[in-house]
Amino acid sequence: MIKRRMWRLLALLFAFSLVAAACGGDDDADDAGASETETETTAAASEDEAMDEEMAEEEEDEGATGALGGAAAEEDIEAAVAGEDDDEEMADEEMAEEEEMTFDRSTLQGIFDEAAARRAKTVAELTEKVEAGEYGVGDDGILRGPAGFEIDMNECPSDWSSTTGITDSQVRIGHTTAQSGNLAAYGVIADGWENYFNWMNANDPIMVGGSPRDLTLIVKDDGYVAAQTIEFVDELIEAENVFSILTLGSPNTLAVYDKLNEECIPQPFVMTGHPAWGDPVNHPWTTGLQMSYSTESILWGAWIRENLSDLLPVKVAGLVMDNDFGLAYELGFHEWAEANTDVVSEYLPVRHDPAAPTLTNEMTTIAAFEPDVFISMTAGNPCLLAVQEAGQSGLYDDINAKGGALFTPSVCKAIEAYMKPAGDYANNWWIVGGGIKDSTDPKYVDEPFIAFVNDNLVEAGLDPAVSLYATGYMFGYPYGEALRIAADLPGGLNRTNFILAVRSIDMYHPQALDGINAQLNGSADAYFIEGSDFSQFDAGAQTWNIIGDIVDVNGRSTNCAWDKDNGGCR
Amino acid sequence: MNWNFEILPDFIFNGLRDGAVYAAAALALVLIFKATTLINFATGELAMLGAFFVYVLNIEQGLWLWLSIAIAMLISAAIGAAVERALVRPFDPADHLPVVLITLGLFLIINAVAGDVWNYQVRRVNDPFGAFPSWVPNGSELKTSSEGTIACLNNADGELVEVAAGTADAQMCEMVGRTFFEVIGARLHYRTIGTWIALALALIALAIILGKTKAGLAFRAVSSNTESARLVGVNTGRTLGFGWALASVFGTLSAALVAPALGGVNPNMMLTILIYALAGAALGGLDSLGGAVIGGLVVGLIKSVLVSWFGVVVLGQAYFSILQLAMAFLLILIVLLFRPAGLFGTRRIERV
Repeated sequence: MIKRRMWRLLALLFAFSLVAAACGGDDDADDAGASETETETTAAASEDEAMDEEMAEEEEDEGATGALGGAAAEEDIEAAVAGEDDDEEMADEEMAEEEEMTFDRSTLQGIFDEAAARRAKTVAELTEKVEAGEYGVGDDGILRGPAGFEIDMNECPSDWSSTTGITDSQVRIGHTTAQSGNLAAYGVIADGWENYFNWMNANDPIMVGGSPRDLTLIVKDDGYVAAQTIEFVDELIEAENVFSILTLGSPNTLAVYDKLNEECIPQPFVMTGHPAWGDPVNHPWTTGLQMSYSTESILWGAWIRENLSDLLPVKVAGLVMDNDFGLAYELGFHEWAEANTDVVSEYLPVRHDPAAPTLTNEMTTIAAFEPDVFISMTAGNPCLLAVQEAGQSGLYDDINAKGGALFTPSVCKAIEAYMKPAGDYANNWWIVGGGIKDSTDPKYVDEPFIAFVNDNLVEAGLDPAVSLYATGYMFGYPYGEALRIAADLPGGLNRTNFILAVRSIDMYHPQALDGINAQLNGSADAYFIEGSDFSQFDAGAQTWNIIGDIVDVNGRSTNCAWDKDNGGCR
Repeated sequence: MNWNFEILPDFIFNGLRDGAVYAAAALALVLIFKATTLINFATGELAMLGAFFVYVLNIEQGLWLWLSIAIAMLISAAIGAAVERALVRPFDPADHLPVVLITLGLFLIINAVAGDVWNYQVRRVNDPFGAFPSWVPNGSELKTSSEGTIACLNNADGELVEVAAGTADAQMCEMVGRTFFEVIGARLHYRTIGTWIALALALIALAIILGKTKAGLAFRAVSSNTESARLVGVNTGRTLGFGWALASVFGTLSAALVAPALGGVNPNMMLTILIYALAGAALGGLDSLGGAVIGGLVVGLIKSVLVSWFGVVVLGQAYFSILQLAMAFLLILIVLLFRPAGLFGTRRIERV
């Protein structure tokens, strides 16, 4: 009796363990449905084997076509890093722009005035084209936009409507995010985003047909589990009737972007930098916002070439989160390293379970490899663990003694969450920062828009020390701008106007560093932010110091039709 | 194969370090199991709550760290007993399903509430065994080192002092600022030693409480046979409450000790640890306190030495590093199949 009971209990225990594993570990999320730990690991293993040296030749051939897709051309980036960029051209462009519009960016009013003027310009340009029949949905059912952007609306579901989600009082926007699990820290981005929408609703609402509509977020917690994202996206479409959907996380977004594009539901400004979001031909309804991980990978390489010339070629080790997110980094840098053997002599990526509570063994393995450069390619809590364990394993001291460098990825920029808790070990880490200002950085807290964000958070009872709230504004602000542009186009706010507005947006983003453009242009420019700072952390002042010039290769990233089966761009 | 024995000690010390974490959590699991013969899935979350109490008392209120831990242990004891009284006792102890479901529910509720109150960002905590504490005489903390000189942070006035390398001052400075001993070229962190000493002390305390006190005697009686204990006049309800309180106390201690290794406290800190702890407890025997500690240690060592050192370094298979959790499951499965009572657990003998 007791034995039987014991067995039952243990069976339950085992089942629970499996559930927990499924929750913690991430999957490649190619298909709907959860995959169990075992299949996950074998899949990962076979993928890894594919990266093995014996298959390197084969891979070289395969990789050659898609090499470094989703990023700017390598020469462009490297020239920019080396400061040989076509500055004159850029300067001319900027000057022309400034002549056209001069606004005082040192005041909030000036920033909002500039935003309004830029919107008006975009609306005027689009309206002219729409009225001329060049843009918008034509008689043939094709939606046309700038730079050859096209969507065949005939392929949308028969019950599809362009105004789904717009009610008498609301514009309903769905959002899946991680509010539980290892990446739960990112969950508060939704609160910041919602807070900005609340501010818009109260102060300067979106007008549809002459009456204000509240932007309403419907947030679902997928715990960073792609299988959950799939379920919640179905729910948002079928039960919540949302206008558009925003997803967080690479595996999660990859799991649903095919469906959302088939369903013709806008999915702009997704919260992930995977290169796959720059695919206006196959996934016209999806766009990213932040710098792509492929661009970041190239920037790491370019920085090493420029700044560690005494040590070249260097040994590089990466700590990789074992899911679509981390693998995008791993692949991006792998390709760059293969093409630049004069810079990187050896590259060792060490993968970790996304749910790992500690990274002691992974970091010891890396320390034993004795790299000159360490690159953390992870997210969430492991950002901090990597910095901390680099210190405790001795890697931090060894690399600094050699004059090498340690990089933390752009998604780990948040000072309060990922750098401050590591204490002195956080000092002197490098970041390809993605051109974004941290809202807790003393350098920026007095800037008008950052101050506005922080004040706004305090009013709502949210803690401005948590910079991920401000990240919500970083996503909410352009989202709001695109909605406003769409609302002013002929036909008012609807899904086709919205995606047209998103694909035409050209704005000043006050949370991006000066010199970083925030722009999309139909099929020609499918990446919003394509520039970055190179910054180094000062643990004493708790700030990222920008070292050298800002690099911006706006409009020069090649599009990327992501190959889900083999990784890389097709 | 690349038998890189040079770095094996590093991995052994890692195993000891992680093993201490799992052992502490396994101890809390086993305490509840002994009392109720069920797995309390909320063990980790109750422990996490305790760690947050330590955070609030120590970091926010500025109390001395060890005093904060002591107070947090007391609060956790009260919470553990209250949970038992309000949510567990009303159910028939012979019927495990409702109670297991309740502990699962508690797991979700505590996690969500903690997330709501403290959000999911990691909050830095003080490390009880980080470096030599500042009250060590002439205590100073190694800050940075550059050629020829070592910059020491003097704790007395917080000033950075440059001292020449190789001098007695520099040696003192280095020793005091460090967080580890160097043993055969590997880093043995003070934290590892401290956590194991704390665990050993906890085990001794537990042995005294269970072996020498009346409440302990009652606890042993109830865990051995609830019905008989009740018949001889033991207040089983109160005794089980005592067991829950005790488990919460050890959970809090373990979470407070491990938090620095996880970067700090956050609501998810114990999620995966609990799985490793379960593997450790299953291995050691679910009703054996010493077994839990040894089981936790073995799981830590398997992870470090077998998976990471042998798999990744020796065999050169990088993907082994993501098999650590899978190894824990495998271990649970093997133990359940071949030795269900674990290495040190009591074998149940049924007579017809």
